Amino acid sequence: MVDLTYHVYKDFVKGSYVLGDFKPENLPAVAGELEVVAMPDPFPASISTTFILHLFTVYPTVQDLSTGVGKIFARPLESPISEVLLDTGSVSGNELTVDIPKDTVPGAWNVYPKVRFTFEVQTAGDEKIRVYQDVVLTDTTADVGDDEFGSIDAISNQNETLIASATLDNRPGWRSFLLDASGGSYPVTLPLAGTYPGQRITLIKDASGNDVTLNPNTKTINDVAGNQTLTDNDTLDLYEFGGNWWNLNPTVIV
Amino acid sequence: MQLSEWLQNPYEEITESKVIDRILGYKVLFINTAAAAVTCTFEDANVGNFDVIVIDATNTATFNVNGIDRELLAVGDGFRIRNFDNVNYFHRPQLRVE
Repeated sequence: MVDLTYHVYKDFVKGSYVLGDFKPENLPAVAGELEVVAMPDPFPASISTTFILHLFTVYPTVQDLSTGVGKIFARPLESPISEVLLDTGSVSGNELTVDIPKDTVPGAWNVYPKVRFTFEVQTAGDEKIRVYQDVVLTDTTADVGDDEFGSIDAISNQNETLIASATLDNRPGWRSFLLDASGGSYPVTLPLAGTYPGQRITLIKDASGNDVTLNPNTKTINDVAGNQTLTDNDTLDLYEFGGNWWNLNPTVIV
Repeated sequence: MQLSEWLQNPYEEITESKVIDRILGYKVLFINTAAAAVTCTFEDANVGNFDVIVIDATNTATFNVNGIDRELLAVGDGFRIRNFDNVNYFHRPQLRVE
């Protein structure tokens, strides 16, 4: 899923704008939400993609699109081919969501220099805004299955403080958790190992005097089954591999 | 596997002796000596950033870093190598689970 945030610095009026024309310093901070202001370029025809588009009138006021109708079109530039409707999309609140299933855009369009993708929202007041981006289209002969663009969230580190009982979810990448037990002891359960080999979780227990119990979720840590207890300032560096967890023990001292 | 997963989960299971290739970035090496003793050689000063963990200690795992041998004998044994300005440094963690 690619989350597009488009800023309109003029009034929200009928017109066409170029996607990606933005000021990064004005990007709104929405917790847990990735904001990308342009489509991937080059854009593969053989990958399914979902785009979410926000329109801003005067920052940070987001345009209410709930009464609008959204569409996405594409056409190859410098070609005799007319604009093609790819998806009617759906509008909810301030978001326009459109799907481009893989191979919806003809891969053969890659013979043209670029393909113009145009997002259109027509409001109840019959104002129409179109934002577009010209990207290079790539086509692969190999079927890439149901792969989708990953969110950059998936490859960014996650640092979180836990204050109460929690079961961690599976996700690729590296995460670190500060275990704040100042309010009392509590258990933490690891994700069920077996989904993301290489997944790494660092746990750091605070110095509150209360313990945190780590439950390996039916799996083992270094071949050891059962819970582990983390006392003040304890840390664990856990890696998933082979359907279990491995902690990097201290061994080599230099 | 999505690109994002590959980017964030670089790992390799080592089951036989080898010279560790130079990498850009970071990789976890899971050392499995079930079949035979393993010797890993980090021969280049700018070999990269690695976390090394023994997951099967049936046989001895030996690591040669810049000409110095170190043996890892138990499951969970391991170390980290971090590279700064083409010099490898060891970094060790704190708590054992055994």
